[in-house]
Amino acid sequence: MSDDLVRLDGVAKHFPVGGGFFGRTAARVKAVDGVSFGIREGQTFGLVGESGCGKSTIAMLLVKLLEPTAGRLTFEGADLARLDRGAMKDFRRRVQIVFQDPYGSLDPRQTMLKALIEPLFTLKVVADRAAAVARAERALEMVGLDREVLKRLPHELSGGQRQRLVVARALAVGPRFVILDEPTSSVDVSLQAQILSLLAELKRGQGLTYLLISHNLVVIRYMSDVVAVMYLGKIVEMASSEELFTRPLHPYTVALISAIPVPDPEASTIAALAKGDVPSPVNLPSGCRYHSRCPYAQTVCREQEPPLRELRAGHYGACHFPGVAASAVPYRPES
Amino acid sequence: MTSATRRSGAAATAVPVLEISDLSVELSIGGRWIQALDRVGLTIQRGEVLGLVGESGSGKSLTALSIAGLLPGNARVAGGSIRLNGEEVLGKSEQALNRLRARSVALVFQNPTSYLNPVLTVGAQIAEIFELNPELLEAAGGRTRRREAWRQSIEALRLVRIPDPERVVERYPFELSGGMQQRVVIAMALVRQPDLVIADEITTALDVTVQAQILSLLAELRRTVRLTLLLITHDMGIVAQLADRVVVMYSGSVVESSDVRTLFKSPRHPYSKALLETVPTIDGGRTVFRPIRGAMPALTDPPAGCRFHPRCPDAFDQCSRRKPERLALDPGRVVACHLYEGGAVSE
Amino acid sequence: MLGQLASIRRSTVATTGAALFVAIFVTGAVAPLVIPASVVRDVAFGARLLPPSARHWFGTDDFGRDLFSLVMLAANLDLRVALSVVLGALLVGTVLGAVAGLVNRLDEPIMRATDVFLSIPSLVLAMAIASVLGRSVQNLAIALVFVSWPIYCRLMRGQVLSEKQKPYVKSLRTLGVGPARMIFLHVVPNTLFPVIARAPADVGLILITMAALSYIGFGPGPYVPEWGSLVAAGQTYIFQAPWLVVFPGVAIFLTSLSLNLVGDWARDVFDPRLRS
Repeated sequence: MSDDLVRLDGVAKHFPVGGGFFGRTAARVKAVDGVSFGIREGQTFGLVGESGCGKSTIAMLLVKLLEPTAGRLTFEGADLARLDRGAMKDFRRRVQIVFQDPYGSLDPRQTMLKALIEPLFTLKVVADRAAAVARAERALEMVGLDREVLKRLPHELSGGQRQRLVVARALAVGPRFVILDEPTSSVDVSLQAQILSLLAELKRGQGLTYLLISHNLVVIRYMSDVVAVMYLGKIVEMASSEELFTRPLHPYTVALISAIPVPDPEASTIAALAKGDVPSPVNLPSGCRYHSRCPYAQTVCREQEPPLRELRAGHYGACHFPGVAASAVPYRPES
Repeated sequence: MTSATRRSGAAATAVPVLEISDLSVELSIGGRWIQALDRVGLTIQRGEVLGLVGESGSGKSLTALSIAGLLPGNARVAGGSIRLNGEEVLGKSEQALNRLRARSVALVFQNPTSYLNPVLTVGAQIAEIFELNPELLEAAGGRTRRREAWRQSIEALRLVRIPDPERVVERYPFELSGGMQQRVVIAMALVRQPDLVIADEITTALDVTVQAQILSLLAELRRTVRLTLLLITHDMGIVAQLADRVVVMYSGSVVESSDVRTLFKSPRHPYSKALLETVPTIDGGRTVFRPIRGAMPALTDPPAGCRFHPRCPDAFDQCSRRKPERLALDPGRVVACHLYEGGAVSE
Repeated sequence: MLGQLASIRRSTVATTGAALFVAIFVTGAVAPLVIPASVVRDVAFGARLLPPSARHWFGTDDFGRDLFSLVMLAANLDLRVALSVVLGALLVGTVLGAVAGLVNRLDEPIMRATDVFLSIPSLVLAMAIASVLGRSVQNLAIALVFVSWPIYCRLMRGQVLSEKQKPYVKSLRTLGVGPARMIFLHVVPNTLFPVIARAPADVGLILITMAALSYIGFGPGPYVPEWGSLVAAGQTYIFQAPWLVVFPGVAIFLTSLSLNLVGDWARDVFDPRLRS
């Protein structure tokens, strides 16, 4: 679709696994293995999956910290592989990322003021220091931090303050598209709600587009318009958030949803629908990658890899027996 | 598991497995002694699962460490009592404490890798427990004992639903996934037939689908071996699914304790209410988060009066002046909040 | 209270170390100005091997020279050499280490070079170099730089490699921070200080190595006041005149001790997380 702000077409990223002597490659990890999706302007696109599914690798590809092994990534219609120096600065200004570890994302020797204004100069957002400081202060105000934090070092801030600060730093350069990689995994539950509502508010106020990456389905559900579920480097299901959470078709999605302990003692179900653990991405299962954990797997699942296809209008899934697990969605209390 | 003999006797007299009252613990931070636990009280009956919830810094892990006598070097108990099966733990000699701990309390932590010996097989590690606690085995004599210990190790792995236990027993920890390692640690906790198992955030490091497996294992063990469990977590969902009763902690003190259904239906303390509202479900259309304003106060700089008052939507003048008393509202429900001081009876 | 005691004890120890070092340093700096050079040159056989007294505080050596003056004069030379050796090694080591950590192509050659240097016992290597260059203070210093740079080089490389992996480096790249700026303004400052913090303790170590080299005859010779040479010269008379060995030995010990104490303190100071 041409109106996509961001697009991935058949994107793959394979990593050589060391272990060989003399730099010989022993094996390849297919961290991302043929992923395509588009994000429309103003959307929040949620990418959910367990460890090793490749969701963070996609984030790294999108900010050009990694180059894809195959496929094409585009932003505003421009191929990311073909950005010249000038276009690159422009790209960095428009695409920002908030990493999951806010403490690690800050230079331990830099005061918060320096942390906020450095990118404004390196990305040529402002011309002089006064303008930079003004912009930094405005960004602080947006995320609800006091000016007083400017003279502090990272270790002198609380977890919540650091998270807000890295958001402020990303927003200060004036991006159009922001990648949020596990934005609340390092904060407590009461702060999680604060950070998420802040992010939702900023999105409305600044007209942003988000790619939200999380292992937490609740966070994804709360924030996203469209959701893609990843498993071992592939998208297994993708639909609007409403559709995906109310009518999941892939057994893995059903397993993820039903794995969440419902905070209601009357709804007593803990359903462990996925067997065993996520297999190592070095040794991918044959056929459907999920078959080794799927309680509904048949012979065909072990032999043939199901393609991602449109199962219902706007609802994509990669399963030989879509909807087979639908009845396993646990009891839900009335809302 | 033949724990019936030990359990049946105590069950009749209904001495709680664990009874903590007015436990205060201080931590030395930057040269000052800071109150980290403030008169914490909780009780666990045999066969009961008690959920201890709170955010980081609430004191829930410190409470667990106090029970096991594993407080860090910069901590000291400033008062109160901890009774295991009616026996006072505090003030016991290190040796007596070790014996008591080995017999009655088992701990399972968040990160299983650090609690397994990397150079011993899973079987050797479980069998070692039998060697150290010969009374756990009925068979006599060297060779048969060893064979029996090995057989029991396999049984223990089977109990925690490890597939193919005969093979896994020969494996080294690094050959197992995180979920499997956590099961092994649980198996090691169970073979000692402890009176109390303390589980501190045991699923936090795991993937959600694996977490679900461990949680359903705990639910099953609760039925099959009548597990007495102190379940420490920050996840209200886990508490709702597994606990019989709940103790909510905030900044070093218990703010509410109650039966699980009552708490989720009608939380009384403003913090319990807020905590439940910050936990959205993914059901029924758009979820609503209600953030709690502000952040947990630093232990070094606690607010006066009720420690929650700066963040509390219902705070009034009393709250900043003095600490709230614990009030027994309904049977089995205790709340520490000024809002209820009018009508309720002080504990 | 315990914590407070600990921190006071810590700072007292550091202050004592620093005070001791400053005292020794000042002595070294002032000694050549107040002690006439003739003390070293003038031989008085009548006053040979006198025990410590009010006139000769540390006694006299086998040439009848005042040992106190010699030990004080030696502080000048020893500190000058040890400090410049460490500075030299630090400079060579950190630059090469940073290059190895940053430039993939040069990593292997530099690391293999350090392997070679580290695989030969440092005393033997220093002796070999000193004997090739000839017997002088300067050559001794050069030999010592040769044996000590690889340690800094490896340390620096390790620091740089691990620092490069830190999330903030990734994060700053996405914020438009280019390679040069990243290296000089972020990576190097964060890696340099732990390496530099090692230096004071190493000055003490170099001092001891230097004394050992002088002692076995690679020093500047008996007529130049140097602690190691003084110990070596006094050794012959260890039963008749033990003070010849004791006083220069104590000087080495105190200097090295003070530097170690300062070193501990330096490590704490250079860590921003420990500063409040």
